[in-house]
Amino acid sequence: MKKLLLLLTLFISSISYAQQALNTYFMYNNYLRTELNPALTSRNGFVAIPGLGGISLSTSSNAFTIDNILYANPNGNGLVTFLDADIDASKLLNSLKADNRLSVNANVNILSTGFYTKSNFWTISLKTKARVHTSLPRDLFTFAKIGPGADGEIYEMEDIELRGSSYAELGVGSSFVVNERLRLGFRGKFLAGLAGYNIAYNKLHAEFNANKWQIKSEGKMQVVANSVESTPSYDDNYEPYISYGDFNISPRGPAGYGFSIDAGAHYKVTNALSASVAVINFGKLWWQASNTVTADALSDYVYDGVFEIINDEVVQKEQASHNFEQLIRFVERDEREGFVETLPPTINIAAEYNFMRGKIGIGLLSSSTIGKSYTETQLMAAATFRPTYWFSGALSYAFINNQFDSFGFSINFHPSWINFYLGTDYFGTSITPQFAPVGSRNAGMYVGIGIPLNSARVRKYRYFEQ
Amino acid sequence: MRNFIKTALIIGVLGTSCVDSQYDLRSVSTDNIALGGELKAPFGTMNWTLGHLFGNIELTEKKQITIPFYNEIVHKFDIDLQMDSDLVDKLIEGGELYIESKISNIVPTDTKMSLTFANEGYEESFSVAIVDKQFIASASPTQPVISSFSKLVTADEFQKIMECNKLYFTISPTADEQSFVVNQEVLKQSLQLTFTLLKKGGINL
Repeated sequence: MKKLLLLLTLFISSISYAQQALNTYFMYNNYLRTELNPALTSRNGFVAIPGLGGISLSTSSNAFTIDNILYANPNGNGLVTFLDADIDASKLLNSLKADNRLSVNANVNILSTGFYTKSNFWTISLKTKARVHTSLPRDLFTFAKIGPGADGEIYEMEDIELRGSSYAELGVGSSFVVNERLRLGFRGKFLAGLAGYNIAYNKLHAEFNANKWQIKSEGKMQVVANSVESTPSYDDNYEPYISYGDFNISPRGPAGYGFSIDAGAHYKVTNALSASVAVINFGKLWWQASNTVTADALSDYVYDGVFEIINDEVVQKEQASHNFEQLIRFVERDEREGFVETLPPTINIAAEYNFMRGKIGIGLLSSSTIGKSYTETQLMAAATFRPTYWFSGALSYAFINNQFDSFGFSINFHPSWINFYLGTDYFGTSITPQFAPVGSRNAGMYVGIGIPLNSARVRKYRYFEQ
Repeated sequence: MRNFIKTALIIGVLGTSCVDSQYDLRSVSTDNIALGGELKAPFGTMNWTLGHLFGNIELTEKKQITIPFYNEIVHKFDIDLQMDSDLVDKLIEGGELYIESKISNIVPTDTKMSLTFANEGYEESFSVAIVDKQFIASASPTQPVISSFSKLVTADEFQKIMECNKLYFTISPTADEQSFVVNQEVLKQSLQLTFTLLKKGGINL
């Protein structure tokens, strides 16, 4: 349990649905900006360094920040979590929403290349993607921190969700010229599902008072991986049950297949002004029944005392047939059934105006990710600087869900022999030694190294790129 | 070259000037995590009619009788206290654990009550209540009055209590010589005792 909490804490504290730093959208030499809009191009073709061509790690939350979940240890050195007994409950609880979301994304560009055929820009890429989404009600934290109290408040919690999946993605895209002002782009992606889980509680009843302790849940767990098998435990009545870790996974291939598409357009209004729009990551993953274990929550833990005496008779108490550590348990369904995972599509809408013959560009980008039960919108303002042919940089400020958040930056070195970029959309004014922002609800680091192709195309300066 | 140095300096400033070493994620301690603050758990209940409580008294022909109450009355039980060992561990680890009692409904006289858990070589006795009949008369099943008894138990004591197989419930007069008058209606009245565990400081994970 401690490990789980620490893992959750570090997830929250270390690392949006952005596959790529949004502020690279206006960096013409950044070869991975095409991920944000397939109509965009890189100034040069490229071959990404295998495994290092593009790595992104990002988190996004509507409530959690490092400084509201980690605190200086009041009894010594180091940090403690908000669950520490000596930390005031109000420190975290005051900052929480009714529904508290956390998303973690990690993408690795294994192999990718981009090249021009005349004016068409083609991209081929193989990536692995992993994402985790958690949705937790405020009451869960109130319960954990304050508890039922001496009066035994009853907690009725709903819509607790933890899900995650990883898949490999093979994509082929093209950006082509329609006319002198308009460029369109499409990318088709074949997906091979690697593993996933989905744990959802519709209801969780927690009652801890002087008369009764009861935890009752209604929910479902799906765990999917190639050749996944459950390894059930048995309660005192020899009834089988499974918990989170009771699975044997030895994958010999994908556990499901799917597709997604990206589509975008870029329109040059004037030589200095451009507008663009894209829908990316629109698709589904079909997880196969043979690789999916589905189980229903079966937690009905009741404890109502150890003795009962009525006059001179002892009424033997029948205790719950499972122990305290087995509160969260599931019973596997007899028949296996697959499920369909809808990927959360993102809509990017942008406009950019260039000054000083393109050495400075001011851009606005709206990026909305449409999840199953929520939509997260980021509005980013970015200033892009292109002082020399071998370097460009961007500074940005993001408003997330209409709230001020944090600034970001990206740097891109792109001389004729290498293309290296490093960026973040969310960079707080204070960061941890691990470079995670302390007070920001979002964090992300993006890095990539590639080798430019078509080096002959590199010129000292070229503006009105698109 | 000059541009490169400028760029490197900017990056360096952005990257290092605002590192807060207090938030070193490698130094997170989870040794003192407690779930919930103060919570109560049921421990046991007793329900008595007064006739049973004072020795299986029955009224046959007489409409009322006077019950002498000079010595303590002890009710003995063989009992199997079953509590999940994980729950026991959680209750005794960290924080303070109290056994509290609540008492409701009526008693016709002032009494002292105690509960004793016993096993071979071990006996732990708790005063449960000193009942003032005026005080207890104000209680009802839905609104029991809370007796003043709350005993702090150590982890060792609680573990031994949970291993006990004998339970003694003792009622004693509060004065040397005491008697009271009961009728049929009074004998049917009930006395309810509720024993609760009060855990302070939450449950450690």
